[in-house]
Amino acid sequence: MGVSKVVSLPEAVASVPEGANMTFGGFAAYFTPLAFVREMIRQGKRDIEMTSVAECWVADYLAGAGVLKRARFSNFMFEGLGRCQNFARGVERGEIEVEDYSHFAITSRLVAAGFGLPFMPIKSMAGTDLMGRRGFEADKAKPLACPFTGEPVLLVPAARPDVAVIHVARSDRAGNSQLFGYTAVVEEQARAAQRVIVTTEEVVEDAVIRAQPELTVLPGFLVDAVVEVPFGAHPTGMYRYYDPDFEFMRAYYAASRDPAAFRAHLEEWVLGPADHWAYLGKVGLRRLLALRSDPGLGIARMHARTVT
Amino acid sequence: MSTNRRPGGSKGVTRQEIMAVAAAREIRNDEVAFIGTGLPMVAAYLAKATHAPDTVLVFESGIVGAKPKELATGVGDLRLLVGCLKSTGLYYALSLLQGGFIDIGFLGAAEVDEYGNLNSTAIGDYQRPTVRLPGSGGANDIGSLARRLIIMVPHERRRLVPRVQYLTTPGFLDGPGARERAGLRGEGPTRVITDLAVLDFDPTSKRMRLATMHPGVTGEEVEARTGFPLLRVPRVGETPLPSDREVRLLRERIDPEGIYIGGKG
Amino acid sequence: MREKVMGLREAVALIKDGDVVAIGGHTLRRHPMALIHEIIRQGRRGLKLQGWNNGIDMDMLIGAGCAASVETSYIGISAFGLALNFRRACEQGRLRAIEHSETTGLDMFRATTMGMTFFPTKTPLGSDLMRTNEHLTEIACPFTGEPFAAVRAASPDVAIIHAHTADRYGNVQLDAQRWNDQSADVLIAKAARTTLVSVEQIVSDEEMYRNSLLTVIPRKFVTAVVEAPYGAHPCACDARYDYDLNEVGRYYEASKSEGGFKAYLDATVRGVADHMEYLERMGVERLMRLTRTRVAR
Repeated sequence: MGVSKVVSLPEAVASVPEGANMTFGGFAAYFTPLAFVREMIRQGKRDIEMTSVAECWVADYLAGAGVLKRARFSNFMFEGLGRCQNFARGVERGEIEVEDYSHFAITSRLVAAGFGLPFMPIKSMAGTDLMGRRGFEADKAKPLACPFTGEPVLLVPAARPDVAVIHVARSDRAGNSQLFGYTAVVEEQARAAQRVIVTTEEVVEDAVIRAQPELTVLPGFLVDAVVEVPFGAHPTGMYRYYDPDFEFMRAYYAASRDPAAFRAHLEEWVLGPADHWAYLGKVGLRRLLALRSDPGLGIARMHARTVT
Repeated sequence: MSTNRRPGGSKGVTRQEIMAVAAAREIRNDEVAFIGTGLPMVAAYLAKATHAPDTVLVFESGIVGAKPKELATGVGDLRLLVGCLKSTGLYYALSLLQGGFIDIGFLGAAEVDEYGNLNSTAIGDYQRPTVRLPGSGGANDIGSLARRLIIMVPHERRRLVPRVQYLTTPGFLDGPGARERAGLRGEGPTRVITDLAVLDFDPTSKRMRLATMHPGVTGEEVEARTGFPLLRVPRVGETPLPSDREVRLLRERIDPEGIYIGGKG
Repeated sequence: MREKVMGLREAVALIKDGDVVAIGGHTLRRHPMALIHEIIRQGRRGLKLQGWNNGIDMDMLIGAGCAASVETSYIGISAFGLALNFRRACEQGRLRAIEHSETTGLDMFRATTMGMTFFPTKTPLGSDLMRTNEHLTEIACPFTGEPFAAVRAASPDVAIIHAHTADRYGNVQLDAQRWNDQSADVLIAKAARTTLVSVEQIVSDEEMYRNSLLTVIPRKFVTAVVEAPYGAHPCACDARYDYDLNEVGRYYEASKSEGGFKAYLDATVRGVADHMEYLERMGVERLMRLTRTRVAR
């Protein structure tokens, strides 16, 4: 049946070297591997570089904890709340270096790597400051006239992060991983990264995977380690498991307005609890159960008012 | 429901309702629309509930063909998945833009200049900004590649600027022919919808021009709140008011809590 | 359509002292423990318990002084041993035990659901069950003269069962991976006058319609549904969560003496305000480690 890739969370996080170039799964307020991120902060990781599309919660937590050194990314924004304040402050103070891309451009860099190509040709970013103003990136994009038609395109080079950390719904011991709902950039991230760590709501038997292969987003041969972490995306949501914890997010956001208040938040919620179980115990079973998805909807509840 | 209503005509509609309806009317039936959070989402829901029921809504998270039962809080909101046509990844959704499959997109921004270029990246120096903004996201892709672009912003002098401090998203760049030289696709921005007016772009100079003003708005007010000399169409009209049906749909079904249409602008 | 969702306290308040209460589940599987804890907290007395095959559920009610009699085929704590509260109560003459086999234990409810006053079976013939259980009597088949035992139809005042999901109207479903979908729990639920169903989750109308084959008890048989996640704990709940053998073991040790058992009840059942507090004392980690499946069964 093959060797099990299942390891503990502390073990998985310990394997990330200082200064690693990391890419994280998830999108906005959803399926972000925050249990892993909290453990990174607990273990005192430093000088982390992010290759990112829109994983705002990772960026803001790591920025607020002083772990993030630089980020190449497209967009960090807490929809419904506002700008990522820890991240913005870090950039404005010169503590975090940035290199801006569009969604399609940064994703295309990961696609190139996964396709084994040195670059991908794209149309985006041309003519704008995404090309014209540079951050830390040595090789960002180069213009090319199409050798067939002469049409101008931009070439973006392949991006190969050291580590991808992706939170999924369920995974078997070989790392075959499934997601319900949309998949954001995880397929591209897993193919581009040199090492892939999957955190999963549940470790399941391979028969479960094989019963619904259409849900499989990562075949096991792409995955190096599997960690079972129930509620591993909290406070972000997980389709078919639990809604985002908006109350927690609002409290986080209020704390993130001010470095001292955020430090207190980190002490209480990240550095204080010894591990993920202690964190969940602090969030409280009552709240976790209230966030549970309805099995028919995949989200906790709907007001059942048909709009369209 | 919000009590913060501004007089905009006999119905007491808010400026945001006028904006949502103006934007909804830009969406044609059977189109494929790339949708973001906020008023664009309200406009898309309204269009689908009225004249464009067959229009397909695409969200950058990878949700295609959303048939939402209630207003979502973001482009990845899980409730958009319930009853959608296809759920996939971001690369699929974004490559629809480059492939020419997206007819219309909507964008807001911190700054808009007279050529319809947008800034959502930084105020001040890029590497040490005064204000670091969220970044492009899909904005640059939409501006570069959608067939039509509708810009929706509050009409403020500090927002409608002569030149954006960082050019995140292309409007007409520095003038006629610039988009073509850069190899961009699509027509570029066709409308700017604000809480004071609906604007378009002069076909020759590609500069922004005033097309209609909302009921009760004066030319002086518009000029005072625009940071650059604003062209005008030969006969500046009045922005059409929402119909009773549109107002009912907005207030009773789409945004009953008035989160986006409630007159906060 | 009437909505039937109630809180635990409100639902259990429908049970009166002296009621005949039928309990679903089997040995250590899917007994309605959250409801049973609440019965103990509300201090019910003189209950006449009925069941098919029981364990910690009836033993706990007996030890808490809630039961006047029991009528079932078995009360035991499975691999751990005898049900010691039950044993003490019987040996001290404080509890009447009406003996059944598993066959007759089901038949008594089956008869009621079929509108019959008895059900025929061969099983108990010749055994002391016939002699000691006044609800079993010998009859002759009117056609062939063959001897049968007639099992008297049970008439519980209240049924309490634990299931997986229900909608707000009281339609009750079990997952596709289920146990006991056609026997005891369903028969007990349909036989009683008042039926209280605790469920892991109250679900949306959409979920109820998604697969109507999962429905085991239509709403007309249900008086109240109560949302009680891990409501069978420490019993197992099909593919959802496993037995909590640590907790069952702790229960068993405590039940070895009256004093020990009282301390257990005071700490674990009476000393918590409600089911959620009971679960919080168990802790997230323990419950998650017992949990086998979380999605789409």
